[in-house]
Amino acid sequence: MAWTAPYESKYLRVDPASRRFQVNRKVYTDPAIFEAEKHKLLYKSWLYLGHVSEISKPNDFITRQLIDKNLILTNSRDGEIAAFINSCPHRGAIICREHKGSRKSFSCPYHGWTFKNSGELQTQNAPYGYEEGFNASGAYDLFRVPRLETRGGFIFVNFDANSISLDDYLGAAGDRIDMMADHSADGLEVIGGMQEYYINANYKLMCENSYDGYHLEPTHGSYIEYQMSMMKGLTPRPIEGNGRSLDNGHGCFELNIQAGRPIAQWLPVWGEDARVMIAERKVELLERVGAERGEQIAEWHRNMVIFPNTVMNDQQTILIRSFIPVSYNQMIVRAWPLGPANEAPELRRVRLQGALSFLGPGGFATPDDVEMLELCQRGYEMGGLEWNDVSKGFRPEENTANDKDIWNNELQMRAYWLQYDRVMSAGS
Amino acid sequence: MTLAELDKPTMQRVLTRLAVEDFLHAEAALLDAWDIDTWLTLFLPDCQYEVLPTSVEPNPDLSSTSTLFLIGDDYERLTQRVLRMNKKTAHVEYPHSKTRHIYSNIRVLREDAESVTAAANFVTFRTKNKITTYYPGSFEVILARTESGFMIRRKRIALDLEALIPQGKVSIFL
Repeated sequence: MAWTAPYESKYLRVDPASRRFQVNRKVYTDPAIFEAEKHKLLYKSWLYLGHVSEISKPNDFITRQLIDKNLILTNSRDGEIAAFINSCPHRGAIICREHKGSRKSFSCPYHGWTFKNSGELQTQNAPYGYEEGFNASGAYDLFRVPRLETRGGFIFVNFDANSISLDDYLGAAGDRIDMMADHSADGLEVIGGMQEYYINANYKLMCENSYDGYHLEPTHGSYIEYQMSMMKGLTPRPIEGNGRSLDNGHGCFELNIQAGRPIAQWLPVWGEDARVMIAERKVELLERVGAERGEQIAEWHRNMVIFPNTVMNDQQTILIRSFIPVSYNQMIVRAWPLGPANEAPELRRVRLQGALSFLGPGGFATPDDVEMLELCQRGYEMGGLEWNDVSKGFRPEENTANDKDIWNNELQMRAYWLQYDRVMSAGS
Repeated sequence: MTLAELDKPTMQRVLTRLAVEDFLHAEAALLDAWDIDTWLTLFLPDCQYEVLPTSVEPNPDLSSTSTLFLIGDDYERLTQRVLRMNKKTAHVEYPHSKTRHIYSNIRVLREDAESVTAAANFVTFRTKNKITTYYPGSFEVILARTESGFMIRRKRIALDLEALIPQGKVSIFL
């Protein structure tokens, strides 16, 4: 779309003549907007739940909180993947209390109702007193999350039975997920050590932060200095990069920096053994997926936001982050590192080294992001100042799907906010 | 200490424990004073400083080369961490938070001529932006006996948490 006239809604204010794009700070501070978001947006979007490697064998299961709901994600005895609400249809108790395991059926600890891992009610423990055919309609089976689809081994769910398919929802972002899956002919696996932490800020701030090239130098100066010390022995190359709007509010920023990737980008500090192994990986990659796509996968770091609360980073490691809002000003962040299944121990070591130094609550960068987001949230809650500015690089003719700009402008964030406005302003 | 350690002569046992306690109390005092440059001098060049992940059951075989730890530093990365935490651009700790390290239940697990392995329970309080959070857990240290006294070969910290809720981060030294 091209902007020809000023636009204003409850959430956005856009003035093409002065090239201003602003977001109302109430989207971070108003509890009523947060409640509306749950129903209009979060429960109607495709939300990341897990990766197939976490439930790779029949009867494997994990439990996981998503927005308000605790879910059981199962690989059934027949090998079907499904997600269920972890609450007994009888009186509501949480049924499964473990984080993960292997089980053919789940028994409620309260009255003993037992369910197959495909969701069907198997026994009410003491079934007398119930009418014949009591559960003929399946109303007392575990409540199944209406939609579950995968892309490249990544499992997403949607609570809206009428939603468009995951592939249509992802649009141009889908191919970037495929590029992650392409890292390995053997598929990817989640590496142990999921990180889970609180941030006292609205979850949308973490999305904005995740593909914000503009903040890197001021916020992460101390990390960049550390990274420079890691790059001894490399000739620095000029930084190239793009910000991209993808479809349906998704976006990314991508950089060709030399931060080290065990898929194909070696750092001298990793030593000679790693250099040889990484060179072999790159040859295998280029043969398998073709030279052009292979170079894209090997040399570029990508931070991608899948609207509205998932981040899929392809950097020092593949890292998936899911932002679970607790309230308008509090979120839980969950982060899972992934690497190729059957990765050589030496490459797994450098992968985790790279991930640990930058990412995560004990890293050299994430804690500073957290500090910034909490400062922002405090700033908004003072009230009085109504609008956030997201104008950097704004062109009235820019497109919110499949447009491109330099890496440290804010095109990708505008794509997010326009999708947010479309969803939240509809029918109100 | 293990029950077997209790069979050792009381005087030797107690003296080792007191020496370890003195060392660890001094170590904690350096951290609470944010004298992290001096704190770093307590570590050997082949040291490990580790904070185990909260999502995995602690066990002695866990390694930061195959599992994502919260912190898995060798001497080089620990030095970089100390350098960073002295900078104004380490925003999360600017200005430095107030911390209070409380060590207790200090036990000598093993000792020989070269080193002493000891364990302790701890709770560390962190106050920043008028909010106080705390980190409960235990740690194991391997202390090498050197000419200048104990030096740390390894400090491995296990938090009694299922997630960093509400702490959010491990930006202080535990």
